[in-house]
Amino acid sequence: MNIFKQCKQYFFEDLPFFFSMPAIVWEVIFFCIPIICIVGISFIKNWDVSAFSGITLFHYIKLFQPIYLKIIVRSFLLAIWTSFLCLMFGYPLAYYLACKASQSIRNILLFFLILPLWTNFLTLIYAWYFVLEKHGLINDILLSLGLISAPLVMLHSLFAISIVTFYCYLPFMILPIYVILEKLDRTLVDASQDLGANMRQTFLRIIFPLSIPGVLTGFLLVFVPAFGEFAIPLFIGGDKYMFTGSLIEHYFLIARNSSMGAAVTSLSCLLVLVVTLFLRWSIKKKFSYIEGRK
Amino acid sequence: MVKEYLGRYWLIFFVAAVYLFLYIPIAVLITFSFNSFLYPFQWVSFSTKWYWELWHSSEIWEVTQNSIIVAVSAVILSLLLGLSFVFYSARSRLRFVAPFFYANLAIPEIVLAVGLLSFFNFFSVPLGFTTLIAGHTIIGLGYSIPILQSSFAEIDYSIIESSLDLGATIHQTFFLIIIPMMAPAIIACSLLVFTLSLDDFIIAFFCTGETAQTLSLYILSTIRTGITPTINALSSCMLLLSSLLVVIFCSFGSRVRVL
Amino acid sequence: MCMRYVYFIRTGMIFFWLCALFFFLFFPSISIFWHAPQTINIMTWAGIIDPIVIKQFEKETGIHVNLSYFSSNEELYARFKATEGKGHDLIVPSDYTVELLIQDDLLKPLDKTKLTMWDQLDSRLLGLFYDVENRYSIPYYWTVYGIGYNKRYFGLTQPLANWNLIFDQASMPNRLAMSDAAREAILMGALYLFEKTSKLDEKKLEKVKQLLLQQKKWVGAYTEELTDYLLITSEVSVAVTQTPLVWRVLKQYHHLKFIVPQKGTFVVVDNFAIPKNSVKEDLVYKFINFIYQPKNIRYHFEQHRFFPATNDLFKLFKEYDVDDSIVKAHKIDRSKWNFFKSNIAAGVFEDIWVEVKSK
Repeated sequence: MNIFKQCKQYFFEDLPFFFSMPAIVWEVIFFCIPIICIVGISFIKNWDVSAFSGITLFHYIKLFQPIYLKIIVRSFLLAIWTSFLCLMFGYPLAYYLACKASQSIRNILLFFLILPLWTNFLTLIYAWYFVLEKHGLINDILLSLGLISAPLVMLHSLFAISIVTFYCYLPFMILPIYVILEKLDRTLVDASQDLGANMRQTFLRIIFPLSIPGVLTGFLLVFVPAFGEFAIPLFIGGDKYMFTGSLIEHYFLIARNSSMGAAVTSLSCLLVLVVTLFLRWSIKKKFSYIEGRK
Repeated sequence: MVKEYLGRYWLIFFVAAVYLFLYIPIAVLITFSFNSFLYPFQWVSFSTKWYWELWHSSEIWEVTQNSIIVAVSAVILSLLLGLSFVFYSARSRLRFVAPFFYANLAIPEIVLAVGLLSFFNFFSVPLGFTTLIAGHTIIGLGYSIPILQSSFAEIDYSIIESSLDLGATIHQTFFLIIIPMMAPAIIACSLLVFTLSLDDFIIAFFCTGETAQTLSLYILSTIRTGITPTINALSSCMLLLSSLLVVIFCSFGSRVRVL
Repeated sequence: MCMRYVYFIRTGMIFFWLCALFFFLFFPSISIFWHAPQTINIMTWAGIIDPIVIKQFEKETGIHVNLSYFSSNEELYARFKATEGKGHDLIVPSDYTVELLIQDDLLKPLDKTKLTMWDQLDSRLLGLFYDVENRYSIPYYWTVYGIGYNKRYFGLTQPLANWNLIFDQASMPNRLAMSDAAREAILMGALYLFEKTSKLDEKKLEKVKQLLLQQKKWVGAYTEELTDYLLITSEVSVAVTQTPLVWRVLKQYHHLKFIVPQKGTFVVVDNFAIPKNSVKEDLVYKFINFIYQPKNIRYHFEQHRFFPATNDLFKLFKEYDVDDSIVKAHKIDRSKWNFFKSNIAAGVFEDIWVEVKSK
């Protein structure tokens, strides 16, 4: 009886632990364990037939054939290219929103920026069909202006895939940069201009380095999903080109080869993690002087 | 003269061009939802018959209902788990676990989706709504815990102290003081998770086993099998809904550090 | 003493939450037991059993129907091998899958006395290679593969009816749409190169792979279901397609035509079959009898891309003024029918397909 009362007392004392546990339990069960599952399955010889077929590195060895490496490199290049384009086009936009626009215009522009972000992804991909196809908007405009004599073939190509990926991920790059730039200490800019720097020098040596954390966040917010993209190659690419995401989907849902799929998944996850950590480490090293000054 | 004009206002032109680029496909989408022709690539005449068909399609209503149920459940679970974790781990060593929740967003969603699929298949969990909600909650936690924790950390501890001094129990303090002070973060967070869950299709694609249909999956299967303007009409309606959510978010989100 | 209790209680807390999670995850399978005692579970392709027809069946007979979908025969077969068909009472496999399921003894023989629709069925679709006596399967719908093309790209000379149109660069005026499934594409290539799809060894498969890689330069899109849309919008001028997918657009757009290669083409027959472990055959027979009723067959024909395996088909063709080429396609001699069956392991097909897609 005494023990029971003591237990009850300890339970109520330890209530914080009790209530903080569900989130951690949820995370472990639905995040950590599935990842471990994937890594584990990639080493099993034939997961679909039996869970205990035997441990092997066969799937990883198979992955190093040119066919598969080409697919992974293609996804990597698409992700890097998309991130680069998004940065080129997104930074000026974020800069304008944060530094140059007046408050009311800023709110309106922000609304129109967040809206595509919060629209269904498939809807956006679907919309591009009508812009890129032979009787679509672009061809109609170019034909009526007389710039071309026959409709351009744009849909179902790598060009179309890169445009649509850029379109879908542009807002993801703009928002983090905007957030950082908005919080920028204006007195630093004023001080630099007082000390005689022109706008270009101020930008290159003060504003841009201080916005690097935002650029990094934006870059990763674009790079990581773009690497695993499979819906855009499926619809806009006409299912002609395989990317990492399509390869994973192929192995898990069509070919039903979970072990191979798991190997591709773990390899791509590893690649993404390596890129993320490398970027964070190198940026930290290069721009550590900013942190010091803060 | 023109060069000078261009030099000074190039940024504005650039911004306008980018916004135009962002909205051209959406404009085309909405325009063709009012097209009377069966195939949306050729404009024939104005008609709202696709909206009428959308309204009367029982399948789309069922699918929308499913999506909303999943989204609301994901929001409730994310908030409950997030709030209880943030609040109860505030004074213990467990709060150092919070940064690990960022990992939910750091990996590509497809990795999480196939991980969940393999996990569920291994333990013979019946695929359907519950598995979908589980997946969406994981992503929701990745957003809700950082947002809620930063919002909670901003609360002045002296207010909590004074509330306890004045005789309120810790739970009364929680419900009457802390939650109202965190209200903008909670609302912003719930809107974010709600939208993410509605728009998500990667996890739905892998983890529902095709017994439960959500809105994204419905659109996916329709695009795959036949392009009709009903989807244009559906997309326009969803755009309208998104606009509403963005307006609500912007009015609350400005007070919250989201990113 | 105190420390021991603390860890004991903490473990108990974690265990409590794990149980709650377990309950949350497995809740659906518990709720299934609460359902109406008369339920049948059907596993089918999307778009061939209409929910409205199901609701009518439920109203008439009081039997509740649960539909679950699958998207490929490999998925059906894999799921079945794993669970031995438990949990489902009716499935709709394609021809070669029925053969595999019969070989693995996963299907239940049918009691033909309980089925009232036998005379309705097209006799040419009975007694096919996979189930010669139709002991286990009933044909439900079928499609014939062929090539749809836009005659505006061909000028005065209309294309010849053979597989050259999609594989030979010289005959192709513009881009084409090819099938997106590995097995189908490879067996089509084999039919074109070797005029038969059986006895494919490694060397022959290598040749087929080179053919597909060569073809890829002219492929606009790999799809099966979007071929009608792509033909209409002139994204492609030639498309590998099936009769139920194009019959509507042939009526509306007279510049689109459909031909079936003379040397032989592919036919797919999807059948009803009952898994061995099902105990609700009586309910299933009621469902089958219901769904073959002419009014339901007609409803599916009107609303979906569905050609029934019954004698009604040609009546419906006449009534809906279906293009001659489609009617002819369904009248071709049985000797020219090829099926997508092959002894080659699915993994080999998929590897070739990945290589084609990766270029």
